[in-house]
Parts: sequence; structure tokens; C-alpha cells
Amino acid sequence: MAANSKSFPSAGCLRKRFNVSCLLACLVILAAPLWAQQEPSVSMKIDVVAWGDEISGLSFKSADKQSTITAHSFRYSAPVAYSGPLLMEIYRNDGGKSDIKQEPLSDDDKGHQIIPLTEADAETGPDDKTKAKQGLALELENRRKKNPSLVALASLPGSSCPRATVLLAPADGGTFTAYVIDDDPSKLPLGQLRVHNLSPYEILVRCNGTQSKELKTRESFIASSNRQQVVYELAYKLEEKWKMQENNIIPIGPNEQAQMIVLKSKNRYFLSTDGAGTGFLQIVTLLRGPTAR
Amino acid sequence: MSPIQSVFHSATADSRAVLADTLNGGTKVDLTALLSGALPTTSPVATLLNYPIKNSNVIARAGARLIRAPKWDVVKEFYDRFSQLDGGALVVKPATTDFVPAIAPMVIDFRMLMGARIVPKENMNVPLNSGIFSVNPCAKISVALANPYSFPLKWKSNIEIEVVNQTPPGNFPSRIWPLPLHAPGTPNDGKEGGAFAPSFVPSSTAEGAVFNKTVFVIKAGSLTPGEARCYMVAKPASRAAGSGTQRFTVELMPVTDTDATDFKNCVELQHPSLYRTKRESDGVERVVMDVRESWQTTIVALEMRLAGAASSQILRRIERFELDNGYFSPNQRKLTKADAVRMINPFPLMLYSFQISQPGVDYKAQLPSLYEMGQRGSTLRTFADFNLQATRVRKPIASYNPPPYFLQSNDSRAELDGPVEGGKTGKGFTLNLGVSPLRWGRSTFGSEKTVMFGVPSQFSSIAELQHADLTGDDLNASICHQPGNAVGNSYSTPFVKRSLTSQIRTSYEIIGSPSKSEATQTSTTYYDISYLLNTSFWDSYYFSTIPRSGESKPENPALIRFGNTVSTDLKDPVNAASLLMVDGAFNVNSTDKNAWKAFLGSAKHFTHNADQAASTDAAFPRSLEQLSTSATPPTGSDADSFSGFRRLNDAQLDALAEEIVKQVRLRGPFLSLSHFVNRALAEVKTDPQLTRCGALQCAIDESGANINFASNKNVFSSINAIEDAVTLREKNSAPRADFDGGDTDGRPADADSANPDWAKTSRDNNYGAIASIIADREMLKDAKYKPEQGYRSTGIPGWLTQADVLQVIGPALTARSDTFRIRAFGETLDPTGKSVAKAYCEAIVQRVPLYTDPANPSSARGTTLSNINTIHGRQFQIVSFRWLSSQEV
Repeated sequence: MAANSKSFPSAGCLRKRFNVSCLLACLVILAAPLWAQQEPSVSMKIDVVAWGDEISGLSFKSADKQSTITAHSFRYSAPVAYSGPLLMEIYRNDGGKSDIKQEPLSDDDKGHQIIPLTEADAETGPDDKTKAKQGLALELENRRKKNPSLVALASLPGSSCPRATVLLAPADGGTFTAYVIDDDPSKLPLGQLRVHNLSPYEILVRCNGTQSKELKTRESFIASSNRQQVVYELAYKLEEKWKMQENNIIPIGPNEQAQMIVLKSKNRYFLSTDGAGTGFLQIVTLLRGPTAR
Repeated sequence: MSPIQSVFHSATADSRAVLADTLNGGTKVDLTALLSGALPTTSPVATLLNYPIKNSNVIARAGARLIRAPKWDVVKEFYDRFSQLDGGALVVKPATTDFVPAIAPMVIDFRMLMGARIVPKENMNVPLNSGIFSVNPCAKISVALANPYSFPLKWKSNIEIEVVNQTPPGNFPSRIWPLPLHAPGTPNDGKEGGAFAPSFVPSSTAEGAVFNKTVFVIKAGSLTPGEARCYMVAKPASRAAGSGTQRFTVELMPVTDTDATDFKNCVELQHPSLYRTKRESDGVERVVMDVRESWQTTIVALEMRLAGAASSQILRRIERFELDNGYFSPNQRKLTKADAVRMINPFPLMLYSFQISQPGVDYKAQLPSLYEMGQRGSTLRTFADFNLQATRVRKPIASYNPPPYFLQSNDSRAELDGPVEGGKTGKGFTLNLGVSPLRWGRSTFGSEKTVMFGVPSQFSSIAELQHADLTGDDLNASICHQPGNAVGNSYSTPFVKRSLTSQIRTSYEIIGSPSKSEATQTSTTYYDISYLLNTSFWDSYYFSTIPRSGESKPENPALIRFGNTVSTDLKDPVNAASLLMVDGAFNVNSTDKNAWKAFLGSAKHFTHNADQAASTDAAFPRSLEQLSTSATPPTGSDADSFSGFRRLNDAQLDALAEEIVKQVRLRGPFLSLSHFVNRALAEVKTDPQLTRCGALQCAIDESGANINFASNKNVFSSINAIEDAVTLREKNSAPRADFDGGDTDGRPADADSANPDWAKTSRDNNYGAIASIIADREMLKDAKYKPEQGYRSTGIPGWLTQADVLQVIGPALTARSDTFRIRAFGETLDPTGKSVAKAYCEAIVQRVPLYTDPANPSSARGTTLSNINTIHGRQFQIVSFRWLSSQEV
């Protein structure tokens, strides 16, 4: 079974190739933001995942130091119940103080430590961040004037969705851009894989040698597993030419939900000690086992 | 003018040639006769310095004084190979001495995943969350084998693979660091690393380590022609404490028969020591782990043997893979006590991957961001400059790793991270191993099969020896840093200056304990083995194709008996040539484009077994057993180019003929066949094209049948010429390091400081550089000469090589003409000067094997010749005479 659906919009800016209709929509949004109006509350389970380094000290409420959430690097942690507005606010109440700090080095460690030869760290999310802040990013900036501990806004799926994954990518000034994935089990059956393209490039994914799908930025599709695994082949379009990147195996148990996210990142999560990356595009897999539901 | 008249100077039906050795004198020696029986132990031809006798060199001492391989015995084995097929399959057999090659699968990909399992010591009454634990080193390997041959390859016994430590003694190679030893009340309490660490690679054979005497076993099996298959550890294999120095066998299974991503399927060594967590500055106690060694690097070899074979009888030996470990703090594995308790399965810490450098892979995306293509062997002429059937893969000059292997050293969390309970390899270990069958040659996305070496059932051209492993040097036969298809090809090797056929260079070996900068320097002779083999073979030898039994009639119709003589001498290797002639011989010095075109056109209308439909184009197949047919245009990426072969259409033949004529004018006259086959010897700066390759190869490339030097002619539909370029480079006037970075200290000394081999800058004191293999250093730095490094796809089965063409036309080539058509005109005038009568005549004058002075037999040579024969040589006979009409002139 193959399905094709757009991922939900979320905090951040417009796409690189936004068109006139998008621009008009933005103007409307800027004039009277939807989230500024009264909106229905939702109640669901949220999985917060870090796009890159682990993010600790997160909360869905301001100044809530009791309930801290840690977003692990591209990995699920314990889900958190959320009840509140559709536009979820994410706070970091400790200002990042709980991040793991670099330990003092022993002589031996100093002798072996290596700093990778890399270019300046930069993220290339599905949206172009070089453009002026608009939409949720602008809204986040406005709200942060009142509450600086607010670090992200996530636009959640509708109330019918019992579960969502919020992927937090580092943005400016200690804030994060949130990418929201609808994890409604009815939309992602157990034992199957959903492929998300969060890279700014068009990709072509073939799964188990049969199911093949072109995905534009932010599109996704669902692939069936075969013998509890999905063998994917990935290509991307660069300068109007398809280039093969890789194939690989994703094991998926019959009671697991798997999400394969294709992105473009220079985050050190993807860097080896020698500074080598993992390919033109980066691939992460989020696997939710039966105990995590 | 009639059509026949229009090609009068281009075509003839009267060309015959003596099978003369125009380089050494005398007639050629028949390899059909020689190789059909046992090799002789004495030479009947004293003047032929490399006459084939048992245990003697193919290359005469005059060409390579210290060379010890290849031996004629290897040629003999190759000649017999087809008849030795077992049920139509090649049988894997080891190299029984240093001077013979093995027949074995290639190692195209090798991965080592190193990790750990945290073991709570509950049975020692230590609570699970006490922060005291044991750590078992765990490792999983995968090895991808390929059959490069055109026949099935089977091994009747199990194949055994070992990872052998080559790190200099006195060091502690790869192990888990920095775990504080928990040994209260002892002097070692709190010590980290070194002898106290769980180890993967032993510091000596006495140290328990995961890889110490672990033998990975692939059960008896086979690979179809051109097929590749990946094998990996497929079951948990636990070595008991104290067994780390004893032989321990672990079965490898095809990746399709196992869960490749399961890291529980690993070799786990029960390690007896206890360790404890560290309290970090945030007050949290954590287990901190990475993989490193006490010294600069860890060095291992990969050895492959048949079960039960002596240790010296190897199938493959790939030397000195470097597993340098350092750590990048964010990549260290840090587990809180709670995490450690949950982490019940093995989890990965470090991954090393080696794969043969393949022309279609974008390695740039796998290199650090400021690196360039070329580093770490990412761009090499793998199929032209390296012998992929080599038994022995060394690390030449100052290479970081043995070429043509590309290295990835991987410990990113993205590649290794898995579930909190561990048990998964991470995605790096299975990268590009998912699709079955495993593709190789171009990349893991190209052709399913790659067929590089044929097994001829019959030999008619010297160029068919291109499939034999005739590499060798002063140390061994069957080495990797020489061309795998050596005979008949002529591309210059990067290891030797263009002006030379052999060059003594320095090979380095890091031995740096205790000084990290120390390396041995060994003078090593590097050979242009193609040049030397061509010189040895092309003028002095031929294949008569005369069967050993029955009528003494050559099966090659281009060879005819001289004077219809039937003699037992026809089956004599030395005398046969004096009783034979080449019918339809072609002088390589011809500057007639139409003649060349017609000659090359003799390959038209050939039907190959792999053809799906008839083709009129000229076929030049790498082997007669290629699995796939040709494509027009060739893809350069798919089956046509990796398991198929090439054809040329009329336009391409026309272009090739034109380029050949250009090359003949540039390089000729050719005094011998090897002169025509080989490149010129000169400085690359003065004669770049003439020294790049031989006349025929240069003509093929420049005609656009492959990719030409300027990159503006490219026949391949799927190859981007720019991306296909080989791009080894220098930095700071030295070869650029494969692990480049900001380090400048601890650099090993160069043999010649004015011409450095080691890089000037490195990452973590790794100054090795694959770029050091280039002998003519202008190619590393000068924009004019950089393109001389050529293209990565050079030599793939779909890249038309000179040897491919010579397999077809080689038997008919000569370096001189022996047939002459002489026309004369006579006229009678009356006293007034008026023409009364005219007459035209034509005689065909043929040089024949007989000497002018019958005192010498036709097979005589050198100083045995009489004075008359020394001066006048062989007889010319008028074999035809006729009067011509004026219309015929």
C-alpha cells in the first residue's frame, strides 16, 4: 500500500519556491494570524525529537521546572501528554544549562582528541531561512518578547490525531524550528515505514525493489515492509539530474512504527571524528516500539 | 576509375608475412606448441633471452634485472586453465609460492564494526546500578566477495578470513577507552586504556582480543560469473574469558540469509576486568567509551585462505589497512547508569569500511566537507592501473591505505546510534548492502555483474594473455599495483615516471613506536609491467593454433603453411614459424586510412554469444564469455559496460582509422610490433601524448570511442567526463594527505626532501597520501598535466582498450611488409620518337622464410647466420607475374 500525503505545516518560513498564492496567504496570515484567534484545544501524546544535539530542559508550559522533557538526537524518548492549544508552545526553562558539558580532558584524552575539519555549521531545512521571518517564526519572535523561555511553536494536527512527533531543528538565538509529523496509527499502520522528505531537494525512493515514489519537499509516503524490513534506494535531484545516493536496510518489527526522515544537515550528529559526513542527504530513522505506545 | 582502382593503394589480396621476430631476429616462437606440453627446462634458442622454460621469467633480465615474477609457469597455468575447469567452473586455489597467483574471489568491500556490551556483574554480588560493570568488546565484520571471471568460481573447501594485527610491537592497537579499571586496593585501580582495556586488535598474539585468531568462515560455495555477494557474522559468537588467544571460528553467511542490522550477531569476547563509571562535572556518573589505540594508528591485514591450507598458502592478502582511532567528544558514547542498565545488547562504537574505488561513486559526499575528490583513493583508475585479481595487495609509497581501496572511518552518531537497549549495527554498517544481488564495478547502483577476466578456450592472439595475472616484481607475483589486464595494453602506470619502464622508489612503513614520526624506508622497484610484457611477447611469440594431434593445420585461417610443407616441425615451437606465413598480414606502419578502416572492419558481422540480435558493427569483446551484449552508445554504467563489451559502427571505425594514421605519422615508423603496441618513453613535459599510451590506445581514445584527453569527446551516455576524472592533488608542494588537517608536527622523513612523498599537513599525524603514488609530480600540481591522470572508468569492460582490439587484429599485424606489388612499364619508340608499343606488367614479390644462403635453416638466428644471410636476410620470390592492360593501370 502506498499513500502520499503532505506533512503538516509547522513553525518556520516559506519554501524556497513560494508562489504568489503563498505570498498572499502569508499576507493574510500576517494581518490576522490564525493562531492569534481563539482556537480549539487538543489533547494528544507528543514525542519530541531533536534534530541534532540532545535538547534538555524542555517543557510545554512556561516556568514549569518540574516537568522537563529531553529531546534526544533523532530518537524517541518517553512520550509526553499534551493538552492545550493547537499551536503548541515549547519552552526551555533552564536556558540550556542542563546540556551535557565538555569534561576536563586528561592528558591521554588530549592526545587523542580530534576536531573535525569542517565548514561552518549550518542547517538546510526544508524552508529557506535566509528569507525574512514570516509566519510562525515571526509569531515566535513576537511571543518571545514577552517570554524569552519560549523556544519553539509547533502547529499540531487536528484534534482527531491522538499522537504527533515534533522534530526540533536548531534555529536562531537558541530557538528551534518545529516539524510536526502526524503519528495517528491509522495513518501509519504497524510494521510499515513512512518516508518523509524534509530536505530542500526532490527525492526518489524505492522500497523493497518495487514501490517507487518521487517526493517533493515535505511530502511523504508509506511503504510496506517485507520480512520485517524495508530495503530502500534513495536518489535526489540536483541541477535537474537524478543522482543515486544510497541503499540501506531498515528493520521494522511487526509491532513497530517506523519513520524515515530524509533531510539536509551539517549537524555534528552526522559527523564522524574525521569530519566525514554521511552522504549528500542525511537519513534518520525513528522507530517506535510497542512499549513506547 | 573502378572501385578496385580507387582503393589500389589501400587494399590487396596478396599480403603475406613471414612470422619474423623483427626485434630480436629469427622467427617467432610458437606458444601453442610450447604451452601445450610441459614447459622445457632448457632453452633451445640461446639468443632469445626470455625463452619459456620452467621457473624462468617472462621478462628478460635485460629489461628488469631483479624482477622475480611473472614466471612462464603462470602463463602455462593460464593456458591450461580452460581445460582445468571443473564442471565448467573455475576452482579456487591458493598461491602455493610467492611467485604464482591464486584463483580466488576478490574482496570488494570489507567492514569492521567495533562495539561493546555492558555486563552487570550480578553474579559477583555487584548491584546492577552500582556503576561497576564489565565490558565485553564486540565486533561484526562483513566482507563482500566478487567473481571477476567469466566462468563460475567455486570453492570446494571453506574459505577462512582473518584480521591480522600488523601494528608495530610495543603498542596497544584498537581497544575501548577510557574506562577506569575497578580494582580497589591494587596499583592498577582507576587506570584506563592500554593493557587494561577490552581490545579488538591484540597487542601481541598473547593478548586476548576479539580478532586474535578469530577465523571467519565462509562455507564451500560458488559465485556465478561477475557476481558479488556480501557475507557477514550472522549469529552471536561468544568467546569465553581466557579464550581470546585461541583459534575461534565464526561463520559468515550471505547478507540475504541474516538480519544484517542485528549487532547481537557479533563476536563477543568475555572480558574479565571490572570497570566503573566516572562522575562528570554535572554530578552525573556515566560510562564513557570510544575506540582508540596507544599509538598513532592501528594496522591490520586481511588474509584469506582455504580451510586446512598452510598459512603461507594464501588466497588474498590485503596489507596494512589503517584503523586510526581518535575521538571527537560529541561522538563518544556516554551512558548514565540508568542508560547502561537498559543497554543490554551490544552497541557500536566505531566502523571502518573499505571498498574498491569505483568510478560511479560520489565519494565527495562521504569525505569531510573541506576535502576534495581524489583523497583516500576516491578517484583512481581502478580497472586500468590495478590488478583486481591480485593475490597480494600492498600499500605502495606513502599511501595511507592499500589502493585501490577507499576508506571510511566512521563513528558519527547518525551512523551508529540505535535503540536504547542496543543490539543494532547502525545504518553505516549496512549502507549500500541492502540490494540483492550486490552490484559492483560502477557502484552499488550500476551493473549487477562485472566480468573482467576471461578464460580463453583457445589462443590465437598474444593479446588474449591480457586475462592472465602476469603482474609481479622483485618480491612477488600477482600484485595489485600493476594493471590486471597488462598484456596488450599500454597506459602508462602512475607508479613509474613516463620516461622509464621501471623506477626505484621508496616505500614507507610506519613503525613509529615510541616516536610517532618514524617510518622505515625501503627501496622498491616499480615496473611498467605492460611495457615490459609487451616487449617480451609481441615480437618473439605467436600462437600457431596448430592442434597437437591430427593434421598440422593452423585453426587460425590467417596462418597458412608455406609451400604446403607438412612436417613434424610444424609442431615444434621453434621451427613452426619457418613453415608458416600470415595470410592477410597488415603493416602497422600503414598511413592509409582506408586500409586501416578495412582492416578494422574485419571485426564486423561477428556474433557474440550474448547478442540478442544480429549486428553488423565491428565487435571487440573483452572476452568471448561476456554475459551481456554491447550497446550503442555504451552506457558506461550498466551491464553493457561491465559485463558486456564494445562494438564500433562504421563512423566510429572511420574516426578510429583516421586517428591511427595520425598516431602512426607522429610515432612511426615502428621498427617492431612492441614498438607499436607500447607507449613512447620520454618526459611527460615534453611528450605528454606519446608517453600517455601506445599509438592504438591513443587513437581509440582520441577518436571518441571512449573519452578523449580533452574531455570533449565522450561516447558514454551515463558518464560525466569531468566527474570521471582522476584527481590526485598536492598541497603545500607535497602529495595531499588522505586525512588532511592542521597537524604539521610528527611528520615522517622523506627519502628525498626535495621530492616529498609524505603530506605536509595532516589530521592527527596521518601523513599518508595516495597521491604519493604518482611518479611524475607535475600531474599533481600543474593544470596542464593534471588531466594526464586520466579517467576513473578507464579499463572497465566497456572501455575499449588496445588489448581488446589486438585480440582481434593482433595475429595479422606485422611491423614490416613482406609482400610487394611491383609494376613496370615499357615502351618502344620508332626513330622519330613515336610510340610504337607499350607494355605494362605486374609482379608480386614475396619475402619467404627461406634464407638467401641455404646454409642456414629458416629458423636460424643471430650469430649462427652466414655472412650472406646476415647481410641479405631472407629470400624474395616472384610469386606472381602478369601483363596488364592500359585500363588496369
